[in-house]
Amino acid sequence: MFINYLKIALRNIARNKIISFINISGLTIGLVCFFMIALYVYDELTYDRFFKDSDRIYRIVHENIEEGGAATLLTTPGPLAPVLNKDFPQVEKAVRIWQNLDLVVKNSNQIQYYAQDKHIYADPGLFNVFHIPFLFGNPETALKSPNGVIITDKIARLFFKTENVVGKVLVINKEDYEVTGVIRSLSHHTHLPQFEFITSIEPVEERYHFNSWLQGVGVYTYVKLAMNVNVETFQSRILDIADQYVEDELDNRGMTQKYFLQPITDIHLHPNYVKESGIHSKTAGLVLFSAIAFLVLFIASINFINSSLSLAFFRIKEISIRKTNGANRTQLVSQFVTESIVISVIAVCLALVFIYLLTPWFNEIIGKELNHSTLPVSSVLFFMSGVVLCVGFFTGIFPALLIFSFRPAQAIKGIPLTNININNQGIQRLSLRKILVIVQFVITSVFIVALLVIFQQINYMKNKDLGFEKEQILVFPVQTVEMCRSVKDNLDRVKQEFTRHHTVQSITTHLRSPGRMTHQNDVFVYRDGEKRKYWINMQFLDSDFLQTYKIPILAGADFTKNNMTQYILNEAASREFGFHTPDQAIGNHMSIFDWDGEIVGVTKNFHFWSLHYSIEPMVFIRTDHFFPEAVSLKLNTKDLRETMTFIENTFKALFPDQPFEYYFLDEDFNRLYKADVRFAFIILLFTGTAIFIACLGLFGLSLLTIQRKIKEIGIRKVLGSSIPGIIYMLIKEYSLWMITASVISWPIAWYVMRKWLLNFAYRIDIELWMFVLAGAMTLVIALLTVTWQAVRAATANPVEALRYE
Amino acid sequence: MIRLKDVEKYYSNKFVKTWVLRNIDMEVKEGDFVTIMGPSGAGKSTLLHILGMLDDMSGGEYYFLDEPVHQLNERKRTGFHQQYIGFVFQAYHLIDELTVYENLETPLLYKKVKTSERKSLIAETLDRFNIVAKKDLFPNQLSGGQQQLVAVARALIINPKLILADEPTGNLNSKQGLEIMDMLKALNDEGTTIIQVTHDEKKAAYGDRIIHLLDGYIDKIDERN
Ligand SMILES: Nc1ncnc2c1ncn2[C@@H]1O[C@H](COP(=O)(O)OP(=O)(O)O)[C@@H](O)[C@H]1O
Ligand SMILES: [Mg+2]
Repeated sequence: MFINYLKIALRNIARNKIISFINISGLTIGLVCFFMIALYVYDELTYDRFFKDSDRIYRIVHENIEEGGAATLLTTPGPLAPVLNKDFPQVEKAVRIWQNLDLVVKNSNQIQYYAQDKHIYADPGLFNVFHIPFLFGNPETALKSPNGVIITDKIARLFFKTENVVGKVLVINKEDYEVTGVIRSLSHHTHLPQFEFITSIEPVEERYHFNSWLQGVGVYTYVKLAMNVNVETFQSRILDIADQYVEDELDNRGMTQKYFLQPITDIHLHPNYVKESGIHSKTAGLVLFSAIAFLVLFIASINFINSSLSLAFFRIKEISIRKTNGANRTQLVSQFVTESIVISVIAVCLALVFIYLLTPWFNEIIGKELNHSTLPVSSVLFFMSGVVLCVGFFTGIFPALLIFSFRPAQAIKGIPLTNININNQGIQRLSLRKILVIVQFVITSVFIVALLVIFQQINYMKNKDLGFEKEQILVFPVQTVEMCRSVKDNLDRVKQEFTRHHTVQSITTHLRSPGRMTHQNDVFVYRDGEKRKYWINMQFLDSDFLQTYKIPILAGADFTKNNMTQYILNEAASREFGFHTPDQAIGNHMSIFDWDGEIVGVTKNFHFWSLHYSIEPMVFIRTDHFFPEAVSLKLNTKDLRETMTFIENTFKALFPDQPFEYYFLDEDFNRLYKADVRFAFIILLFTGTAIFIACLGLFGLSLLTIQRKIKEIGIRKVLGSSIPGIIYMLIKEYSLWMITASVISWPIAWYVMRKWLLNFAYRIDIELWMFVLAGAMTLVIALLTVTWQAVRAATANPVEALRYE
Repeated sequence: MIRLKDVEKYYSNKFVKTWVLRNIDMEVKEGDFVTIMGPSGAGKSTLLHILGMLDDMSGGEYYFLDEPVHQLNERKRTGFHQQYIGFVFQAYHLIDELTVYENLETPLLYKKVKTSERKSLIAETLDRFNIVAKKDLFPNQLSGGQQQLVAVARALIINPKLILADEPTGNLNSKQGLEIMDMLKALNDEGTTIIQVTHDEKKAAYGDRIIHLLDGYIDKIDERN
């Protein structure tokens, strides 16, 4: 019996070629989207799970409460890990990790390697916590010696052309290190930095105050708990752990420290520990993407249901004959369901092929390394069968139910098919189809509005006046300590050398360039004989900064060209410090660390960060004590190539050993919108897909409904309707559907997009034209889809339709 | 009113032309009642469709009220339908999705008749054909005879000068068929021109002229008075 169902199913699929194509392709595309997103979401949710015993590994973060405020830090004081190892049997191992930012590595063959963020210091216990397999060397001892270094296979090949290099020597930041281990490059599927070098943390303990509970920046602390340890109990034990060791000192300073365990598997989604809220947080993003995935699949399934429903009208006679031949309900339903399942199976197979082919491309778009092999096969199979059964069942059951509402005799008596009563029971099924199409286009229309809003917002952010000039600014990061010394000691000469070229207008040294993280610190403001403390963003710089970045001054003046420590505030800082007008700020004194100086000016507010954030108070400090982290050059050139050659040559002459690396500020700044651009692109992709699938469905539906209307069209022409009249009649209904869909979509789109826009401190308003445009687009796209059918039907010779009955 | 000169119609596929009508010359005056007879496949329906401007001819000239139809564009021809021509088919060809009332309304809508006038025309017609009680029913809720009655009513509602009826009684029993024929006769007496196709000698007798078609040619014409 089943074979018979299958045979008929395949024959029907082959007979209705266009409809089968629409069903299969729509479902395939929907499934491809769905699986891609599922892959992405799965990947995001499973960060760090590849580490052995990942469920027992935690990062410890701490909250530091002081007079003046509390701060949650991802690091802890250095002594934490050692005391955990010593006094807490619940802890299998605790380990400290610190990241070294700047790194220059050489070997005897003069190969050089510069890198940022590629070097970590760690306790020997690292490998007890994180199971990182060694290719060569012994994990037990590799970090025991202060001059041992563990490198990745990649680095081994780079320097030595081979992997077994244990015992070889590398010069790291001018010191000799012996390779004690070789590991494979770390998977990207972790929150840990992509380090290539690991050395012992001991030699830098002093320098970074890793032995103090109170001083220093702290260190990352990871623990692996012993088996069967109750996490809650342990958490409560370590909450006040600092008090157990240094209570008096903390009290003296008026400080409280609280410690928290964060599962490492949580870190990727909550990198800052604080559980973010709002649509932009990573979890919200995942929810959003999952919703999109379901919606796209839903749209595709609707096509399927609709076309099966429509096709059923053409099969009433067949079914009736089957009924009179003794087929019972179950058998008839089985026939329909078998057909749907065959189509689903074909679509799933095709989808798998496409996913396989498209993954590299998708990876490029989303900046990931998704890999199907990471997925558990059983759940994929489970899921696939789920999709096949669900889609198959629902698309099969609707037409089957429809069929039952007809009496077989009606169809068999030879009453023309189109004469069978669809006005009573049928009308409800018709409106089911209508509702389904409207739902499809509601979703599509929400996507279109979203797309318009997103693009407007990105455009707005990229083009908004930031309050300074970001164009034609070239920045070199000062990567190494040597270069830093060299810049600081020869500042005048460096400036002279670069400005010799007429296209270099000015040059300035500073900490981070706009768009990058700033430093924050306590500052003291002296005012009316009082000393007040503020925690504030600060930027050390030299006296050419404001001029280089063309930041307008509101009150006072730019820094004077002397060596005194001077301060300039932005407007927000001036207000923060309680000055009613910018002018009031001028002449007051303030200090950071103990560098006292005068406030000489107040600048207009400008956007140091992306427009996601509002402008924060900021202090500019000109002092001789600072070590520059970057050099900015303001250019005015039409021939960039020539200028770049000059700059590179000058750079090489000034800093012979340093890597020439640079970026353009505007590009760097726009990178802050990369996530938004990527988001927009993904939405664009899915909007396109949704539109395509929905149109495919509409096309199929119009094909079928207009086919059913061929006779009516003929009659109407005979009764005197003109061709445009017929076309109008045919597409009027669809226009109404589209307009309904648009109108329904508007409040939904408005609500969702308003939420999305809340992620930006500076945002566009959602305007009426976006809805109208989206509505118009939906209408035009839909009408283009159905008009072809309508024109074909309307221009056909009515005689053909009416001649034989 | 109607003049055909050497009208021909053929269908051509890749290699062969299939002639359906050849050398058709005929004239119909206002108020005539013409019957077309002939075996199945002789081209009767085709001729009727050409007369009704539903189908193009392959050659020849067709004057309708002295207008050269063979030279008219689509819009002009649609105008003629709306104005002057009513159709009745063997298969009734009512619109299934519309009620009796709405079916009757359709040609008036296309003719852009004003609402009030439309309503009174429909009411009048429903009354005249005795189908007031059926006005909210859908075609498939009616018997064949009732459906054909509605189809005739629909053809008449625009008060056409010419009624083309292609085997209007073919699907009806003899009593119903005679009723429809009497209806047509009555209309003819009021001055409406009628061209009907039929197989039935008795019904052919209602006309005052019979055109016999055979394999696309006019075989003979019987005048009777
Ligand atoms: N589209 C077509 N292509 C080819 N031949 C056709 C077409 N339509 C009708 N015919 C042929 O034209 C001839 C006349 O048909 P018709 O006018 O319907 O005959 P009647 O109404 O006299 O029975 C028939 O032989 C029919 O097969
Ligand atoms: Mg015929």
